[in-house]
Amino acid sequence: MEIHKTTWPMRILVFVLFAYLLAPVLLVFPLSFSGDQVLRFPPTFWSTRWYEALFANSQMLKAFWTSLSLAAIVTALSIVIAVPAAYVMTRLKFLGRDLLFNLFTAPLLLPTIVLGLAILIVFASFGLLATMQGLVFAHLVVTLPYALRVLAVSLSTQDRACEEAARTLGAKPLTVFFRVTVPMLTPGIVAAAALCFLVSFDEVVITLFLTGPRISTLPVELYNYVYNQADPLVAAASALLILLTLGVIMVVERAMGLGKAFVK
Amino acid sequence: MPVSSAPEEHLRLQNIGVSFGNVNVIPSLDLSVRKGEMVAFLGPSGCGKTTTLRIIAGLNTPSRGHIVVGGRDITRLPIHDRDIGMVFQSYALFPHMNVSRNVQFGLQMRNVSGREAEERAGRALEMVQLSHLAHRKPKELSGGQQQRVALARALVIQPSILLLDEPLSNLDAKLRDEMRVQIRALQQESGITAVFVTHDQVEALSMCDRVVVMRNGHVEQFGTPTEVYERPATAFVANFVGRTNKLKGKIGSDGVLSAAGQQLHSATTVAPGAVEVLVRPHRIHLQGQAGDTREADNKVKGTVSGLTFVGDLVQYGVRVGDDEIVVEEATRRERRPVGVGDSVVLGWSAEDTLVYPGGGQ
Amino acid sequence: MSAAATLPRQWRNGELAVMLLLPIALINAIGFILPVLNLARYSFNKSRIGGGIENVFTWDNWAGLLSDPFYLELVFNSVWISLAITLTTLVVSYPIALYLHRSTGSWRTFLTVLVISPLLTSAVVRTYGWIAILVDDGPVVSAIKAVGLPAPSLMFNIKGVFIGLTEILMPYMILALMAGFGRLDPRVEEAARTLGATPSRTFLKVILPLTLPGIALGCLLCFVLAVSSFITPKLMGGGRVFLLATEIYDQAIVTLNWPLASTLSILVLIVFGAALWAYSAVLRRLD
Repeated sequence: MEIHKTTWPMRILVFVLFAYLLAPVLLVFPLSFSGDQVLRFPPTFWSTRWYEALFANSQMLKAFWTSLSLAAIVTALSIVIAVPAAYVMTRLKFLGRDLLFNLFTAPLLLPTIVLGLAILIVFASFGLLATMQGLVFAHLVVTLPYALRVLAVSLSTQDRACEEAARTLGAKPLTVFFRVTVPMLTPGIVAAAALCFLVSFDEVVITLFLTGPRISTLPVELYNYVYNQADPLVAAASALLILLTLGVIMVVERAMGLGKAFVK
Repeated sequence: MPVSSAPEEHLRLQNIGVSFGNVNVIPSLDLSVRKGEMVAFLGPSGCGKTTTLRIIAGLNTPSRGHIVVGGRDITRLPIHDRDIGMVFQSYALFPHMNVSRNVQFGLQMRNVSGREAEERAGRALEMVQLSHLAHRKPKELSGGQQQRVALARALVIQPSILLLDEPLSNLDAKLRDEMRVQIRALQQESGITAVFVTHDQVEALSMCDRVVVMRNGHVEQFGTPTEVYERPATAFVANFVGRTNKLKGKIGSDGVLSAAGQQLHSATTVAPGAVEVLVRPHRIHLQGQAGDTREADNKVKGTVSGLTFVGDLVQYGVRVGDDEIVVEEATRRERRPVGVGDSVVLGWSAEDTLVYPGGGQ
Repeated sequence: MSAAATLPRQWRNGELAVMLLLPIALINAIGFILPVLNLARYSFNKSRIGGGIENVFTWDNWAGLLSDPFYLELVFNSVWISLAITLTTLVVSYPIALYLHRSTGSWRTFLTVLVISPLLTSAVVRTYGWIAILVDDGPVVSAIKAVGLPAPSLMFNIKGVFIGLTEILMPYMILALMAGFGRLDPRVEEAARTLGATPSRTFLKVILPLTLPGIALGCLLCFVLAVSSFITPKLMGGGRVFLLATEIYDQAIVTLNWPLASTLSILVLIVFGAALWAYSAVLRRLD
C-alpha cells in the first residue's frame, strides 16, 4: 500500500484546488458580516447591517416567499406525477418504453437558455408570462426529469419479490402499491423531492425569461441586484441560501446517503 | 369444464403449457400432488421448475391448461384470492416493517382483527423460535433468521398450499442442513401440502415425499426419492440424481447387452440398438478382496489409474478399455492394499446395471 | 377461450398505464416538444420591429447570421472560449478526482459533500462570490499589487468570466471523472510500479489511458455547459463579453427579435450536436 501514499506536493495541490473550488461559497459568510457600504474584502469593520437591510427589503422578502412556495408546489407536483410514471416505466414492459423514457428526461439535455427562450415564446401566446401557474409549469419541465430518473433507479433496484410476496399474502394491486412499493421507495422519494426542491428554488435562467415586475423569484431578484449594484446585501442572502441548501443535503444524507442520491 | 379429482389429491396441474411467441418453454405438464405431501421440483436451471411454481402462485400466467386446488379450478383466480403461502429465494421480507408486522401482513389482508393478528403472528414466530426478535427490522437479522420469518409469514395465513422457491440457496452449508430439518418438521407438523423448487438433489431427496425431476419443461420422472434414485426412468435422471458411471454399449438383435468390451447382464430390457449403460460408483466392488463374499453378475477386468482417499470412502479410477470407471468403496482396515497400476476385477449385480436407449450424449 | 378471459384485465392495465403517464406526457409535450419545434419554426420566420413575427417562411435569419462578421466572431469566440475553459477545468479537476478516488471512508464522504455542495449552490451566489474576490480592490488584485506587480483588471472582461466559469464547472468535471475512475483498479497501478515504472510513467502509461473515457465524458459535459452558460458571463462580463448565450438573452428580452434569438438557439443546438459527435468519435477510438 506504500505506493498509494499520497505525496506532500500532491496534497498541497489538492488543497489549493479545493480552496479554489470553495472560495466563492466560503467567502460570502465573512462578507455578509461586512460593515462597509461597498463590496470590499476583507471588510474594514464587521456588522450585521446587511442582514438587517436584507430583512427590510420587501422586494427580496416577497421574492423569497414566492421562491419558497414555488419550490414547494413544484416539488409536491413532481413527486405526485413522477412516482406513478416511474412505476409504469419500471414495472410494465411495453413497446417504445426506452424511447419514452429518453423523451421524458430529454429536457435535461437542452441548455436552459434555449429552453427558457422556447418556453417564453409559447407561454407568451398562452398568457402564462409572469404568472405563478406559468412558473410552476416551466419548473416542472425541468424537475420532472430529475424526479423520474431518481425514482426509476430506486424502483428498478427494489426487490420485486417483495411486491410478489405481498400479492401472494392476499394484497390487491393497489394495496401492494401503497403498503409495499411506496414505503420501500421512501428514500428515493426523499432524494427526488430534495433534488426537485433545490433545482426549482435555484432555477434562474428559465425563470428570468418568465418573470416580470408582477412576480419574481429570489434567484432572479438576486441576479438583478448583482447586475445593477455590488454591495454585501447579496452576501447575506447567499449565506442564508447556502445554509438552506446544506439543510436539504443533510435531509437527503439521512434518508439514503448522498453518494447514492447524486453521484449516480 | 368438468374437473375430476382423486380423493386424496390436493393440487392438480392439468396440461399446463407456457409459450413465449413460438417457443414452448413448457409444452404440456400434468401433475398431481396429494394432500399433506411435500413435493420437490428438481432440475437444472431453465428446466421450468420455477416457472411452474410461479404459475401455481399466480405470479405467471400459463398459456394453456388448468390448475386445480382442492377440486376448485383456480387458473383464472387473481393472486390475492388464491390462498397460497410462498417463501421466496430472497425471502422478500418487507424492509420497512418489523418482523411481527411482516408476519401480520397476510392476516391484515384477510381482515383479521389487530389483536388476533398479533396473537397469531406471535404463535407463528414461536413456532420458528423467533419470538425474541419480533420487533427487529429484517435487515438486522441473519440469513437463517430471515428465512424463518419468511416461513412464519407464509404459514401464519394457513394457506392451502405452501410454495418454496429455492429457499435454502442463500444460506451457508451448515445452516442449510439445519433449515432442511426444520422446514420439513414444520411442514409435517402443520400437515400442509408443499411444493419445493430446488436444483440441489440432496435437498430434494432428503426433504420431500416425492420428487419431480424436470428438464426442458418436461417431467422426466415423478416418484419417491428412492424410486428416483434406484430406478431412474431416464438416463438424464440417473445422471442428474446421484453420481454415475456412463458406458456406451449396444444390444444386439439377439437381445444380448455388450459394453466395456464384453457381455453384461442387466435387469432392464431395452430394444436392440445403441444404449447407454449406467452404474453407480458405490454399487461396484473390487472383486477378490479379503472377506468380500459379494457375488457379482457382471465382472470386468481393469487397471487402477487413480486413487483418492476421502475419509470414510476410497475412490478408485479404473481404466477398462477406453472407459474410465469410478468405484467407491467403504474404507476397511483389513483391506488388501490396491495401488495405481494394479489389475483388478470389478463386479456388480445385474440389478444395478441401468440400461437406456440412445447413444448417450 | 383462455386468451379471451385474460384480455379484459390486460386492457384495463394498459388503460391505467396511459392514465398514469398522461400528466408527465402532457407537460413534456407542452413544455418541451412544442416549444422546441416552435423555436425551430421561428428561426425561419420574419421579425417585426419592436417584437412580434410575420408568419412567412424566410431564410433571412440564417443568411443574415452567417454573413454578419459580428455573429461569426461570436460563434467562433464562444466555441473557442468554451473549449479553453473545458481544458482548464479538466486540469484543475483531475487531481481532486484522483485524490477522491483514492481516499476512503468518512474522509471520502466529507470531500464528496464538499465537491457536491457548490453544485447545489445557485450560480448567482457563486458568481457573486467571484465578483467579490476579483473586483478591482478585492483580495486577489490587492495581493498582486502587494508583491509589486502591475494590477490586472479581472472584472468585466473575459478573464473574470474564465476564472469564475472554470470554478463553476469543476464539480461536474470531478463527478464525471470519478464515474470514469470506477475502472481504475489500484492493483493495476501497483502492478505497473512493481514492474519498474516510475510514478510519472505509471501515470502516463497506465492511469491516464484508463481514465480517458471519464475525461471524455467530463469534457463533453463541461463544454456543453460552458457554451450555454449565461449567468456568469452576463454578471462578470459587465456587458462587454459577448457570447452565444448572452446574445440569445439580449435578442429575446432587450431587442425582442425572437426569430434571431431562435436562430441563435438552434445554432447552439447545432454546436451541441457537433460536440456530441466528437465525443462519440473519441469513444469509438478508445474502444
